[in-house]
Amino acid sequence: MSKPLLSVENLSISFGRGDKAKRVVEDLSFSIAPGECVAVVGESGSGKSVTAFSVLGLTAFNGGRIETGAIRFTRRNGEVTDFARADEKTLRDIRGDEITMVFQEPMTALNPVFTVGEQIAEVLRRHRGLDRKAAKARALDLITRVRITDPARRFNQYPHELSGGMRQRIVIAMALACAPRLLIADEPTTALDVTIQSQVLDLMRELSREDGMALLFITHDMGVVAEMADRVVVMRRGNKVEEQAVDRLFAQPQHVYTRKLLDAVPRLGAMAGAAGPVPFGLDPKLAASSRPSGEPLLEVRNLSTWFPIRKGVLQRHAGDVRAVDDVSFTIGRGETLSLVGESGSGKSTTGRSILRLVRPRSGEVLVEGWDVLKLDTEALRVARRDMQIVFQDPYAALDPRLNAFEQIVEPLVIHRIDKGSALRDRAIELVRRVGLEDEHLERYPHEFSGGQRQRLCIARALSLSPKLIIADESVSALDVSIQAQVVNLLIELQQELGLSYLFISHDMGVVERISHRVAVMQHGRIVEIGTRQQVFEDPQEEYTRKLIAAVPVADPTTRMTRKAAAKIIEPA
Amino acid sequence: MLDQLVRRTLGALVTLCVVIVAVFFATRLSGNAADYLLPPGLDAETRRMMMVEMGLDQPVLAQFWHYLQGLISGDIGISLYERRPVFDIYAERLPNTLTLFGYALVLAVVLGLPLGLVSALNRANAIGGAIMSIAFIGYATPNFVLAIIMILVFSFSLHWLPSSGSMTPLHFVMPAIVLAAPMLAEIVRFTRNAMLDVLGQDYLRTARAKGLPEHVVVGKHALRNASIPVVTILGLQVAGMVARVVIVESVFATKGIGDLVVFAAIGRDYPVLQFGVILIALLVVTASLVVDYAYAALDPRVKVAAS
Repeated sequence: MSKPLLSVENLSISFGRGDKAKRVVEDLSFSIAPGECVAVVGESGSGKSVTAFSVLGLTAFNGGRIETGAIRFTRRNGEVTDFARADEKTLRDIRGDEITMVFQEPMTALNPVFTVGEQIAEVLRRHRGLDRKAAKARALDLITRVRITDPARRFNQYPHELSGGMRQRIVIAMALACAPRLLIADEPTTALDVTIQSQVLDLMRELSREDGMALLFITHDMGVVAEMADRVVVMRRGNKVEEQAVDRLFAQPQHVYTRKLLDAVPRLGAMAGAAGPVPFGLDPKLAASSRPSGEPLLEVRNLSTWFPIRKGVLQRHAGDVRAVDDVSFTIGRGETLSLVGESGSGKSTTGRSILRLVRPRSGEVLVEGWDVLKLDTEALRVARRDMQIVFQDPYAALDPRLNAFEQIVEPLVIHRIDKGSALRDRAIELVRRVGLEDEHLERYPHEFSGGQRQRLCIARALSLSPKLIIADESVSALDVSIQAQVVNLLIELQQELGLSYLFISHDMGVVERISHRVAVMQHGRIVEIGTRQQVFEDPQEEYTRKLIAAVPVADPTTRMTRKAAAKIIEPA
Repeated sequence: MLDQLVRRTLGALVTLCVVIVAVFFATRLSGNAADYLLPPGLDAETRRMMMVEMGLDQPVLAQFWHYLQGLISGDIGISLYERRPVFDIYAERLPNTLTLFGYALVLAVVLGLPLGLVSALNRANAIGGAIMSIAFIGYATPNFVLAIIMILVFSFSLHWLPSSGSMTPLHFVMPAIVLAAPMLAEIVRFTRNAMLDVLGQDYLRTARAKGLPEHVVVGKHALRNASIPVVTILGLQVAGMVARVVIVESVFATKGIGDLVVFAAIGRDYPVLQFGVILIALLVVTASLVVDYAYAALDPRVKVAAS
């Protein structure tokens, strides 16, 4: 075997000092050969991102310290540099030139006050010593290379003027500027829609092949691993638990933790034959699933929500964004209707319109015969007891200054349902119900993990004994294994309490697990609606097929045979 | 974005018009000038003649009409006290105030930004702590106290600086420092906080991952973002300076418009007071317009939020 490009040897990294020092990476070793794609997989807190930053020599800026071990990188000129010992000047010369990085969050990875062209050109000026003109010419080439049309116009645009997918391409262009030998990708597609995700993954794979560039891929998504990696390192709590070639890992996972991760991955098509939602980990063919009674709880008729576009000095009304456009559907008691579609398709606005968190323009929202849109303030307050919402980001949805008990009982206090010791009893019942413990009630949001916080949000939503829960991307921000647990919780709660869900999601794999029926939204309209079997097994619309095809398949053997989900053309 | 700036400019003009109207009636409401100006015991005939002379005998609306005509034609009247054109009085005094403002602004910005930056970068050690302590003291000290201490030290004991007047640039040093002190403290605090906020942002990590040296990461990528909230503070501080300049000018006997307006208000010298208020309004409105334009120039996202 040739000399490895990168070899990480017995690496330990810790954060904090003295007694509070905490090891986050423990005795980690792996290597990457030139042109190889290695995936490091693990949940949040496994130390995978910290590892990525150490390979870039950025550990200190992150607040960490390399305790022991070495990170040896073979440079273009054949010299081997150890990042644990190299001086900052050497590291800076390697960063952005020979090793580059693509980040998780394309929304925040770019500086908002400089044009994207400038941000690419800057790298070239820094490492290649190009003057402004030459750097710009080269940057325009790079923008074209990441398959963005009209580079001259894009060069002068600011990050906020571009879509998430396009921003991520810009970050990739920036990373490719100096033809690096190693590209580190830290969850590069987690924040993107499935269709955009598959485009970005395809792009990275093609580009790495063209340049013979090695990839270090950090992810928690086994679907993405199966699509991209040659070799996989599985990490847990700072330790490597397994390292395998990708086919072997999927075929014969050695470690029980790897198996657990693999089980949590939604696999499209796994639900064929099952009538209703089935929790992760259970065999859909054997598990009993709930059947809704068929009696309607929520009826949405011709709902439209438009947002005005105002222009000019006098803020003239120049038109409308039809966020929700003539949408109708019903949800029965104990039924889950999933609303799927890409960002901007109007899914979330539909959910918010039903709760009247935004004012719809027209239509009816009937809950047990009452039109929510016609209720006065007091009646609306009462009606909202029956409808609760769980949001996407469990970090932002909880007040950081209230403890769990106060969060959970707040709705009960507002609606004057319980008080005094009754509140405490109810809170205990609720936290137990969502799989937390009594002592958690005294803790504050920052003391919980992401999954626990989302459980807390669910407990809060349950406190008013609602009939309908609107789950707006409620599991999208969670790690795959945590996501599976929360989905299972939702399914269980439905079976026990007869809840109805409007499950808003862009993740087709999860949707297939949890839904009785599915509605597909595009441009504010429902383009297809039907039972889960109809939509997944016999989709009628091209758009639905595209959404399903874009989901990464957690099976490395299908990688080559699967046709590219979507052509890489993004509308301007 | 052009639309937005045009709208802001129109809004500023409307504000000015409102001030022009309001100041006229507000001064009239505050009492009759004749009661303050004319000596007591004057016989009725002389009193009437004086009222005619000053134009105070006419109905309020007619006076208002004259006032507007005067503003448009550039004839803003004659001081009831000094009996000379209001324009001449301001021509004498306004440059002093503007010089003072200019010195104070430059001082506050030129010192405030780097100090804020340094204290953000050294937040964990003694340098950062020292800067913030001094800034806090500067913020908490009333400006007349600071003025008197400075006069005692630099004029009385050391004889370095003149204690009053406005003849040479040296005369402006102490008033400018006293006027700038609270603003300087505010800018240091805001720059530091904005900087700390920006230093934790993902795009700085990106900048480092590109291999950029630290002075580019901080000086280019961070500072440009951190300066956005600081600009807002500058706009607010200019309005605050107007209030403080009254005290500073009277302590240092700078012949500026601050104490002129105060005395005009006490003595009901309508023409001087009216024009003074309009000038101050113009200053404040212009400052906030400049801030808006600066905002749009610094932050490309402003354009989108506007449309």
